[in-house]
Amino acid sequence: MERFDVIVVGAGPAGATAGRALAQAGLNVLVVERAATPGAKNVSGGLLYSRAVAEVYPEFWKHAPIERAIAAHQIVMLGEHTSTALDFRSAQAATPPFNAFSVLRAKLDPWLATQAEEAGASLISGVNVDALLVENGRVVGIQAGPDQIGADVVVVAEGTAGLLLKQAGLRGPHNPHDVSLGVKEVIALPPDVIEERFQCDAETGAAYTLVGSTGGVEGGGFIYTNKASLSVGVVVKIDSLYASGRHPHEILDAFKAHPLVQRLVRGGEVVEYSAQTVHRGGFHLATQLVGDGYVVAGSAARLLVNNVLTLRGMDFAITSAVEAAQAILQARFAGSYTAATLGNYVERLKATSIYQDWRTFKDAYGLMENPRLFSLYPDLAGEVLERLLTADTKPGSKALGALSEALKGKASWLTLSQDMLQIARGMVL
Amino acid sequence: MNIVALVKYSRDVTEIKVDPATSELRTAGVPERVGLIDKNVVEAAVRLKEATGAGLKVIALAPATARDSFKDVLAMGVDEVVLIEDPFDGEAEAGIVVRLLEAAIRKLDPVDVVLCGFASDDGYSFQVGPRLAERLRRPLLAYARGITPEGGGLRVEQNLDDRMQTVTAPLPALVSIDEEAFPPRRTTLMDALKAKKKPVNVWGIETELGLSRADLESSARIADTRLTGVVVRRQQRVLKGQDLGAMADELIDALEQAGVLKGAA
Amino acid sequence: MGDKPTILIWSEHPALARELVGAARQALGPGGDVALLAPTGVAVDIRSVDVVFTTESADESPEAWAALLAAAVSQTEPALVLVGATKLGLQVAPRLAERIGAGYAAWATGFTLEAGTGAVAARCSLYSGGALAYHQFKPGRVVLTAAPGALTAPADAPSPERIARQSTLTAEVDGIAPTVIGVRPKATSAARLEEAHAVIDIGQGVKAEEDLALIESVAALLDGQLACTRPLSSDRDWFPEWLGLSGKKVAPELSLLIGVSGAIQHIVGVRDSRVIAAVNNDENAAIFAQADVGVVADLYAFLPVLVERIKARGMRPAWQ
Repeated sequence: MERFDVIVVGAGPAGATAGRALAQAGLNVLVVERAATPGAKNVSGGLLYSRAVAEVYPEFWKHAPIERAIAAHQIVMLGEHTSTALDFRSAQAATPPFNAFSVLRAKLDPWLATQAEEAGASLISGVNVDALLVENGRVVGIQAGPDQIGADVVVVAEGTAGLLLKQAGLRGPHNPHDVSLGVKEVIALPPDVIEERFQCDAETGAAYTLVGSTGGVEGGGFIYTNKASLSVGVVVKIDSLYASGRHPHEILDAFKAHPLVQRLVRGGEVVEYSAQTVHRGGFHLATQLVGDGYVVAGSAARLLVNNVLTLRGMDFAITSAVEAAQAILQARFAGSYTAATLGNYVERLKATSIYQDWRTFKDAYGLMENPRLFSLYPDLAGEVLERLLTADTKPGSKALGALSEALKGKASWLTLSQDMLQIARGMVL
Repeated sequence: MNIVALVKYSRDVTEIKVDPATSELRTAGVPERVGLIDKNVVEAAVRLKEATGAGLKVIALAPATARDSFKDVLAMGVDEVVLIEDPFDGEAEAGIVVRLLEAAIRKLDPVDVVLCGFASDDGYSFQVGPRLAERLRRPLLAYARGITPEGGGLRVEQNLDDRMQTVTAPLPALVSIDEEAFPPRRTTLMDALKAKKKPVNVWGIETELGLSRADLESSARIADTRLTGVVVRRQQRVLKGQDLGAMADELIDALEQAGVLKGAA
Repeated sequence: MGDKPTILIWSEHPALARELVGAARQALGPGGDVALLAPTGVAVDIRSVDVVFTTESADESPEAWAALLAAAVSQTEPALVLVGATKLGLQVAPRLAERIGAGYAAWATGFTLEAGTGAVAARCSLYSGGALAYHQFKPGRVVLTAAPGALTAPADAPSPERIARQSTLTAEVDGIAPTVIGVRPKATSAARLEEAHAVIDIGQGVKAEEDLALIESVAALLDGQLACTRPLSSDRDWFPEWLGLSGKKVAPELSLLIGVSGAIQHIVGVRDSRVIAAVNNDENAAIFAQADVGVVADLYAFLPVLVERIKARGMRPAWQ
């Protein structure tokens, strides 16, 4: 049987980074990717938070195929015919070390994979790994079609679905409640149109996080500016989607039809459509990260920080891959690849700042369980402002009065204050 | 025995869109790849290699940056890829391409069998095989659906317009593969690993082929080519998700309005 | 070449040769000559031809035809050689171009020949019909191929009666042609697809040959002829002919496409239909962008209902 020191399954950000780190240390590494080219089958919203990534790929913005530095964040509540926004702009985010970049996976992933290859890893694309080879509860290699290939340790970086782990009996099925479906379109627009509509320049761009207008299905939308396209999508809870009986693309179409969104995307041509299940990123969903002969990295390990306003998967994947690789090197030094020796990965990961962020925002998960966040409050915000800003013939009222009027029959003051407290706990306090 | 398979690296024409307002072709960002027809050529060549124990090289005209695009072809069983670095960015007319291919084949001599597609995915003009046969002065066994080594030569089953025809020819010879013949095999992880060790050699037209760009350009017979897209002007009305009877009635109504159907007099 | 340009024509199909002669005559006007290399063993009654070459050779290989055409070229010195784009013609024409150093382009849908200079420009179908290429050739001889129906001359174009000079050509094929050791004719279709008012065009969505009965019941109601995509002909052998770039092209009142995915190579064959309707179970099938009206449904469930509704409503084809 052909053997490698390490086999990495998946050449996304986690797999490519693990492959690179291990090859740099002189190990004989095989990275297997199922898509014909890395990134071809990968879907993510498209924001790469840069701080953690720059620690692994110093000044990557000078070399990697990034789209725009995100210097403006809009947080928008979409009512049926209103929108209420918070517009945050930062000149600092437009200069090194930046905060986040918009990226297109079809470009970024091949670049990351090339870094691994240049470090000496063998990358094979277009091959599906059918199973993990397990002997006496220990992962000893992979099966791909007719071929079995052995390794001291397998890095499972297969992405969200986690099929190999499930199939090998190393993980139970996930609860549909913990999974969302993301549907996304890439909409081509000329750079000057994007820069005008999003008030940015040639190098910078904007990210919109939008809540509401997902047809009562719990979830939210996003719009990110690329160089010559927009990434536009909605992420909705799968159980809520099933209950609604609606098609995912209908939700996206309705979202795109909202006047605010429509103005931003109009005239563009849809050049790509994709759908992908994503974990909702709850801290309590953390899974077993190591076992005898394997480690799990990236979204296969359900590592995703979701605090409603930001969704961080790619930088978490890269960070986890580096820590996994370090743990493998330590285990190699010890000459054994058991759950115990590889367990150092978990300790290392817990010490990272992104892991701590994950724990910090653990209450955000419960916040996203609250249906009023998606259906009631976006309209409420619009209604209150409408009452305050509209000059009509009736006597006006102050904000609290307007809110009181708008709340009538929809929610009690008690509910409102409980929800505010929940929002505060999830995101502020 | 030595086999050469000619493989075209070209745009994926199914990805080329037409601007409905101006009829302009949008070719920017259209991916380039080894053609689908050319994968069949490689399959035919690998089968012949397996039947004869011959050596098998691929010749392709492509930018040097396309080296990685030939991994699949190597994994299928090709020994080596000769990549002629295209000085014309894929825009050269076929007459020039044929001269480049001819020079590369002659440099690899002795070559007993040259295989190519009946046409390319993009140009689809059926000309490289016959023109090469003229230049190399070798028999062309065109539109092959079956290739068998026989008595030091080849027997080929040809799919012609009005007949299937069996022909033989001594070597050296050219064979063009018929449409949809020889569907390519699936490759395995081990195939791909072996392919990593196989060479993709980049040849310059001046350095390796001894041709001059100026001479090639002067052999062009087309002075200028302008492209426009063909815009589909159909109503594109789609009926879906309804009761079958309702959709049948709507289809009948549409055909009646279009004057294709009429009601009982 | 002189100032009276000549166009030389050859196709092994008399009907296609006649079409090319018509197009050549129209392009030349009364001033130029049309020369024809006549198909073997076929009496060609073409009145608007100035020179006719016949051959007594029984060799119908592409090598032999290329040699004959090269001989005809040296006798007539044409500015342009027009060859029918059949599988044989598409072997012969590029060989000829290479041999005589001429410019070459395939799938012409139109051309111009300047009387004074002999300069040739051609409009050619490209990307399987998705685009048109306008080629301006450098001064010198040009070879073009054209598919049946691609170069249409008006039927009532005046065709002054010419008295053709006739001569017999012979040409030597040197020893590089393959040897034919067996021939199996293909069945030809009795159906006159080109004359049908309605064409019922089926693709790989139709799974089994038994299912043709269902398709035929639709065809009978619509007075349609059955046709198919290439795989159904070449791989499954259900029909001798197919529609598409490499097959036949039709332009009926109605083309009803059943289980056809909509690959452009096929659509070229039905694109000139007056009305295109399609049934396919894949909502994302490319065919829906090429049709006037499309139905997203399983054909096995939908067609019986369609037949029932057409009967119940007493509908019949408009031309009946």
